Amino acid sequence: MEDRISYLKEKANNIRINIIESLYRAKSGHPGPALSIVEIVTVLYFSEMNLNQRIKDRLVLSKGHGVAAIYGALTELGLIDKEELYTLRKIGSRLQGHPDMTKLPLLDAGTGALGQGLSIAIGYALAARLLNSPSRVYCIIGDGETQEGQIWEAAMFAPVQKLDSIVVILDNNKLQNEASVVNTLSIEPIADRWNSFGWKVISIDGHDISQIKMAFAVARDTKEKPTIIVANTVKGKGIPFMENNMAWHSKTLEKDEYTRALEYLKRV
Amino acid sequence: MEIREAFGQALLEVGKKHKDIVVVSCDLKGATRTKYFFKAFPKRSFEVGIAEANGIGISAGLALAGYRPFISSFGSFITGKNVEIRTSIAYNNAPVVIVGTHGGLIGPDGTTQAGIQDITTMRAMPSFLLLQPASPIETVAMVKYLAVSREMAYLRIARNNVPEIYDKEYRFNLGKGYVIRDGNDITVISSGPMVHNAISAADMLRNDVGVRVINLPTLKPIDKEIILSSGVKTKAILVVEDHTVEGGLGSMVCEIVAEAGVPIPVWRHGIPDVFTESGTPEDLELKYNLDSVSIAKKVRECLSLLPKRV
Repeated sequence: MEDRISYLKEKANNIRINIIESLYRAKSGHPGPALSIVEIVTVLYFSEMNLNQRIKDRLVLSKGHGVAAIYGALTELGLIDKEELYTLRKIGSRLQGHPDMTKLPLLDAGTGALGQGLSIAIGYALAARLLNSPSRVYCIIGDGETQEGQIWEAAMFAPVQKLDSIVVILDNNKLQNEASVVNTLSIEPIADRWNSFGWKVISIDGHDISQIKMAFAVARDTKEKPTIIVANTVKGKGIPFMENNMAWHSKTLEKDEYTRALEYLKRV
Repeated sequence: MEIREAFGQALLEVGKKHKDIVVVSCDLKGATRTKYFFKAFPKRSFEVGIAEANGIGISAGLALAGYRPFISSFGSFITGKNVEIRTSIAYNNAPVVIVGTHGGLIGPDGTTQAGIQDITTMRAMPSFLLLQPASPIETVAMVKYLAVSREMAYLRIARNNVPEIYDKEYRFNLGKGYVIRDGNDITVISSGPMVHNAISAADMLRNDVGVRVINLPTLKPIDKEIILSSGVKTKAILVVEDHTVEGGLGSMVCEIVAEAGVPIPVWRHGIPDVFTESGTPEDLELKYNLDSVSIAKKVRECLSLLPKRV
């Protein structure tokens, strides 16, 4: 078990390196929102999800701006090579600024206009039920994203359908585009809200790999209702000068920042 | 028969044969006539409530997983969810059929419920088909086409009662227009229930004006060939539509004629840049000059503006 955790920690660190290297070369993008979901994405791709084509689990990144973490993970899995990773956001690339599944079929949904991914995930889950498939559906949403009305349409629908194959991971990093979530439009009490809609709610430290694995295990054991994992995270996690710093929602890495960021990661 | 009724029955029929068809309702199963499918195939039917955005996303997910979803609501409501259709369906190339009923001059429920901007809105969605049947037989043929196609489509369905203009020999060919009446003096192009008013107008004028009536069941990809050849033949085109003239069928025809560089005048005859109002469909047709008498009058007016022919 301990070995497994340290293996996943190493994967997470490599994914962070991929994020920094690709966003630096892209000269634009969203480092903060990608770094906050690294451990979640790592556990999903390297432990939790069944990537076997026949009964493939699905991952919908509803907060599409965090996509550098997905590209980083796919690179770590060997499904994208480094050379292609460095084409991120450039003309002709399969790696668009926000996920595009028509260009990159490794993705289960293209997203980017916030609030929509959970509904797509529900569609996948309904299809799996019709097909009697054990396929599970994971959906990562942002905390600020829950200000979108469609999230609550979907939140209302999934429990009514008893969709226990759905697991939402709420990246609760407390910051949104222009300001903190609480100073923009508070979403609290977020856990109570989802609970009152009929969801199984699990609150965890979203950077603690053991807790993430545990939460997914609880979700698997939860029957007749969907699960939401409120993952308390730090925007910009892993790069000290980016952590909890609003500016890094969307900011270009300068040369010295890139070097410093990589130094931090290589020290881990 | 109402086109929506023909649609509902056709959907039930294709549902028997094609097990991948699923239907999503936004609390309008009765009005959009998906109720027959719902009753016959409860497991493949999903009621999402008054939550069109969620319904659109769910339809996208079902389609990406291999199903062929039809999601229905009033055209005004469902196409109003522009960013959801754009991102969840169109951007993902998710093969969903969006059915917008109550297009055009719907009656006393008023303009909020009437689809009068839906074509303009939907024609900007990359790779979407835009279809509108004019008769029950055409509706059935279109639904059969959509049942086996994996294309994204917006199907605009009127509420009006319409007579039949086709027989069992009718074949729906995507992207093709149909000549309903032939004539040499002017081409009247229309789609959906307005085709019938255009036909009546042509019949009224039969003794002294030759009106070529074209029905375009496919609005996108549009039949450029029939528009240009008819225009060249008759030297004038009048487009009749129960939709805003801003970006609708009339605009499409103008674009095609202009880009072809052929000097043929085109008149757009539809709902001006306003909201419509409550009233019977007949009253509304009179108000917006879309009844057959007004269309005949418009034809004469257009012809009077043409230089005298030798």
